[in-house]
Amino acid sequence: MKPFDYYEPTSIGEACSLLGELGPAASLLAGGTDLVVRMKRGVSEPVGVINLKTIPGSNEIALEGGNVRIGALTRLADLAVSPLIRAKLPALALGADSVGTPQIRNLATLGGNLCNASPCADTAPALLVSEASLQISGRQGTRQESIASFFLAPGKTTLSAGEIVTAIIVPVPSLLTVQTFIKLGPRKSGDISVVNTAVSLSFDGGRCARARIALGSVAPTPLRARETEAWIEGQEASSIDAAEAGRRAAEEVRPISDLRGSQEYRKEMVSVLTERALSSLLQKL
Amino acid sequence: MSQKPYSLAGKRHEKLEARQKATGRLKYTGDIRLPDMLHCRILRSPHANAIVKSVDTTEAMKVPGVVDIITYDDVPKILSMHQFLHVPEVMYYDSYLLERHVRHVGDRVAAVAAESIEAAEEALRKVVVDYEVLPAAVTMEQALAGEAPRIHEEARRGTDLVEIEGNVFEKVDVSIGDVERGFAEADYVIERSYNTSKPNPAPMERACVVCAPRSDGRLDVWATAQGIHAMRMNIAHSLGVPVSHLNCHRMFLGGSFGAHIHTGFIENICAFLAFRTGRPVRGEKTREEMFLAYGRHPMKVTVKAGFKKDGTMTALHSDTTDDTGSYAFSGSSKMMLTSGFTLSMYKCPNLRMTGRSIYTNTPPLSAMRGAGNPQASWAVESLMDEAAEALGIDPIALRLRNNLGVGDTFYGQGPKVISTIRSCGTPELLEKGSRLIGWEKRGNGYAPYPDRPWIRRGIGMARGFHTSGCGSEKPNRFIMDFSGAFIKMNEDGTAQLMNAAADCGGGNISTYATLIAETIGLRYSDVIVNGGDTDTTPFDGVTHASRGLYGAGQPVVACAEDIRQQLLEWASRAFRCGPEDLEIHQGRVYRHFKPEDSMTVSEVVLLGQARGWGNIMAHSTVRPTACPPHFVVIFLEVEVDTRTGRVDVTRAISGVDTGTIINRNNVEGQAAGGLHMGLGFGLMEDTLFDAATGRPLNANFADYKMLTTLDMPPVEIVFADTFEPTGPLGSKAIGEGVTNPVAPAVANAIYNACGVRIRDLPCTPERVFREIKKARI
Repeated sequence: MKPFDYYEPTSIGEACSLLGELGPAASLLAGGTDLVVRMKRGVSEPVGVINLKTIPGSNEIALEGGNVRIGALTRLADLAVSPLIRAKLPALALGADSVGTPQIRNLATLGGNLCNASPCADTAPALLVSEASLQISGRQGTRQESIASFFLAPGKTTLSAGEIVTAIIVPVPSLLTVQTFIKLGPRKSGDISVVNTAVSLSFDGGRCARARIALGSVAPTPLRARETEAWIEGQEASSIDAAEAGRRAAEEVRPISDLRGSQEYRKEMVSVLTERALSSLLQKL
Repeated sequence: MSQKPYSLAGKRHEKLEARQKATGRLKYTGDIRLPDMLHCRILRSPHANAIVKSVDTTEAMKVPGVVDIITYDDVPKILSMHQFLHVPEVMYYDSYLLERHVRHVGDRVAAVAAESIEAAEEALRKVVVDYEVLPAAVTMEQALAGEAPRIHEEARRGTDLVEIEGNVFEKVDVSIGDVERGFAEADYVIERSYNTSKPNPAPMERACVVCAPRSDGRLDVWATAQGIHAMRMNIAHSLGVPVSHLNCHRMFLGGSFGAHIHTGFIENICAFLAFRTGRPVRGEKTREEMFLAYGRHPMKVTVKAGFKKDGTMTALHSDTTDDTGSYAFSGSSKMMLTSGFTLSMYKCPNLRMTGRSIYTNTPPLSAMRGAGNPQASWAVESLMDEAAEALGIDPIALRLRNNLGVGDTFYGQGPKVISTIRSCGTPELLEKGSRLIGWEKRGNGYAPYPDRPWIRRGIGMARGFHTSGCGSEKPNRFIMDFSGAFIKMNEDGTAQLMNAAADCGGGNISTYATLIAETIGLRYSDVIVNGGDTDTTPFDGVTHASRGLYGAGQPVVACAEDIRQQLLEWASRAFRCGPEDLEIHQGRVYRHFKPEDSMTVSEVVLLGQARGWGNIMAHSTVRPTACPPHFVVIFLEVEVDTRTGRVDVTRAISGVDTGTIINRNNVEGQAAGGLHMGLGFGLMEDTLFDAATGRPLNANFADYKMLTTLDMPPVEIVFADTFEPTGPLGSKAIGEGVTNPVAPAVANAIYNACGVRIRDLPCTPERVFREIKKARI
C-alpha cells in the first residue's frame, strides 16, 4: 500500500472542503470494505483518505414526515435488522442482508454500496423500486437527486468533484404495498449476485396502481424494467401473469458474459427471478 | 470380528495440541519472527509464455531496505524436482529456482530480500524486465495442437533426458488380461468421456517458510511441509548442498490437502537467499500466489466398459489425458494414478489403461486430496450409473456384482503398487447407507413441494476408496513408503515419541499418542510427541496417500511393543516373577493374580535408573507391505431447481470402512471435511484462466467459490465393522477416500432428480441449467 494522508473531518462541510481541495486523488472512507481492499491490491492509490465515520449523526435511520431518512453511513447490518426498515421497506432490508458476509455487513455502509456504482449492488434495486433520492452535499450547498438517474456506468455516478452523499431519502410506500428482493448466486450466502431483483407492487381497489421492478447485474447500471411495470399497472391482482412479466423483463436487460454468468443465462434468470418475486408478492395479497 | 477389546482406541480423544490451537498459542510457521530477518518477495511473470531477455535491478537495489536481488543468472544451474514422494528415477527435473523461460502467468523471474515486505514489494515494482512474449498454450487442446508452442526445451526423468513430443512428456499403455476378448464377450459396451476441473487445495494457512543460518554454517528451515525429510532432500538438491547442511523442523499445518507435498519454490529460494545474505529469510505466499501454485490436475478420462446382461464386467479400458501445467511437479504420477485407480474400481479380468501427460502454460499442479482418484472416480462412478440404467440393473446391485473385495488384487498407486485386499466394508456400507437414505423409495424426478413443482429431489450414490499409503508386498520402484520412529521412557512414566510424520490437521500426531498409550498400557496424557526435526528423527515418507496413521503409525506401534516388553522385564525383576505374570494398565504395572501388588511405570523406570539398568528406549523402521484400500460409500439427496440449475444438497451420508477407529473425533472430522471438499469439486470449485492470455480469472476467495456452512447438509456418518490385519491396531486410513466418490454421487443424484447427466465438472448452476434446457428441446 502506498503512503497517503489521512483526514478525520468532524462535519460534512469540512469533508466537502477537504475533498474539493484534494481533488480526484482523494478517496472517501466509509466502511472501507472495497476501498481498503483496492488500496492493498494497488488498484486505488489515493494520496488522501478522508474518513467520514468521524462525522456525528451520519448513520441514523429516522421517519421524517412521509419519508424514511437513512444516513449514508448506516451499516448494512443495522439496516437489515432495523424494525423501521423491515416494516416499511422490506426489500431494502433483504437486499442489505444479502451483501457479502456478516463481517462485511458489519463494516459496509449504504452510502458506500451505492457510491461504488457496481451494477450488482444489492441495495440499489430496493431503492430504485421505492424511488429513493440521494441527499448530496458539495461546496456549493446541497442537492437532491433521484436514484434512477444517479448511476451512469460501472463505478460512475453523477457526483461531481467535492460532492458527498449524506443521506438516502425513501418515500414510505402506501399502505397497500408489498415488496421483496431476491438474488441468485451459486451459494446461499457470500456471493456477488449473478442477477438480483427487487419488486414493489401497490394496489388500489384490487388493481395494481403502481408496479416497480428493478434488476441488478444485468446492465452497466442497476435498472428498472419500465415497460414491464407499465404492462402490470392497471391489471387486477388476480390476473397478473407473473411468468409473462418475467419474459417481458428479460427483454429489457442488457447483460454481459463474465465469470459469474453468460449473457444468455442472465437473461433467462431475469425472467425466473422476476416471475418468482412477483408470484411471492401476489400470494401474500 | 477379530478386533481386540481396546481400552483407548475407538474413543474420543482431544487432540494433544487442541487447546493451543483454540487459544492461539500454537506457533505456526507464519508466526515465526527472528532477529534481523529479511522478507522475500518474488517478481512474477505477467505473460504465460515468454523469454526473459534482460532484467535490470539497478533502481530496485536503491530502494531503502533492499539487501539482495537474484535472477536466473544468480541461481544454481541445477534442474530440480519438486514432489516429495517418488523415487528419484521417476521424478521430473524441469525447473530452476528462477527461470529465463517463464512458462505461466506468475512464473518466477527474480527474487528480492529486504528488511520489510513493503521494501521488497517496492523493489519488485522497480525491476525492469524485457520480455520476448511467445504464443502460449493455455488449454489442453492448444498444447496438443500441431502448431503448439514448445513449453519445455529440456527435462530429465531421473537421469535420463525426456523426449517431449508436442508437449506430451509421458505416455502409458498397460494391459492386464485381454481387453479385446473381454469386449467381444460383452453383451453391452458403453463408452463415455468425462472431464474434470482444476480446484485449488486452498488450505486456510498459506505456504510459508523461514530459513535461518546457524552458527555452525548450516541452515534451520521452518516451513509448511507435508514431509520434512523429503523437503530437505529437494532443497539440498536444488541448491547443490549436502542434506545434512539443512535442519528442517516439523510444524503443525493449517490444512494442506496436497499443497505442501512439494517444494513450491519459495522454500528453495529463501534457503538460497539465507545462505547468500547470512541472515534469516522469510517468505509467505499471498492468496493469489496460492492460486497460481497448486491444484488438482484437470483430466479428460474416456472409459469403455463391457458387461454381460447380468451386469458382470468383462472388460474395461480407460484413456486419460492429464494436464500437469507448466512444470511436472508430480511427474506423470497423477496420470498413472488416475489410470491405475480406474483398474481397481471393480473386479474385471480384462483391463487396459492408456494415457498421456502434457505440459500447458498454466501454473504447475500437484496432488490434491485423492491424487488422481477423484478424477478416476468421477469417470467410473458416473459410468456405472449410466451402464446400470442401460442394463436395467439397480446401480447398487451392479456395484455389488462387480465388487472388489477380500482376496482380490488391488493396484494401490498405479499398476506398480500391488497388494491383496484383506478387509472390505463396501457391502456392509452399501446396505447401511441405502437403508438410511431410503434408496428403495427413491423416485425419478420427484417433486416434493406442490407449490414449487420446479424443485426436483433426487438420491444418488457412489462408492470409492483410497489407498492407505503406498506399501506393496514386494518393494516397488515407484514410490518411497517407509517410516521410522524412536520412543524413550521418561522418569515420570511418560513416553516420548520422536518421529517426522507431518500432521496436516488430520490429527495423526495425537493418534500416535493413542497407539502408544494403548500398546504400552499408559494413559493418553502420558504420551509426549516431540516437534521433531530432520536432525533428530529418522526418515519418514511424506504425509500423503492417507498414510499418516497407517504408514507412519506402524513403527510407532512396533516401538511401543518393544517398550512394553522392556518395562515388563524390569518390573519382573522387581516383583521377582516372570514378565508373563504382569500387565500394564493406565500407567501402572500389576501382577495378574495379585493385583494388590503393583507399581507405577514411573517407579519401574526410576528403579532401573537407580540400579543402573540403563535406558528404556526403542527404535523401529517399517516398510508397509500393503496399501489396504479404505472403502467409502457416499449417499446424497439433492434438490435441483430446474429453472435456475441450482443444486442444493439436502442430505449426505458418508459410509466409512476405516478398520479400527483409533480416535473417533478425528475420523468424524475427516469424513465431514472430506465431504465438504468433494461437494466443492462436484458443485463449484474451479480455477479459471483466460484461454488467450493465461491470466487467472478467479484467484481469490470472492470469485473462487467454496461451499459455506450454510451450503453444507448435515453429515451422517456410518462405519463398517472391519479389522485390517496389516494396520496399526487393525486400522486403515480415511483422509482421501472420504472425498473421492463425492462428486459422482452429486452427478448421479442430479440425474435421479431431473434426468440430466453432467459429464464435465463442476456441476455449476449454469451448466445444469443448460443441460436441462437441452433435454427439454
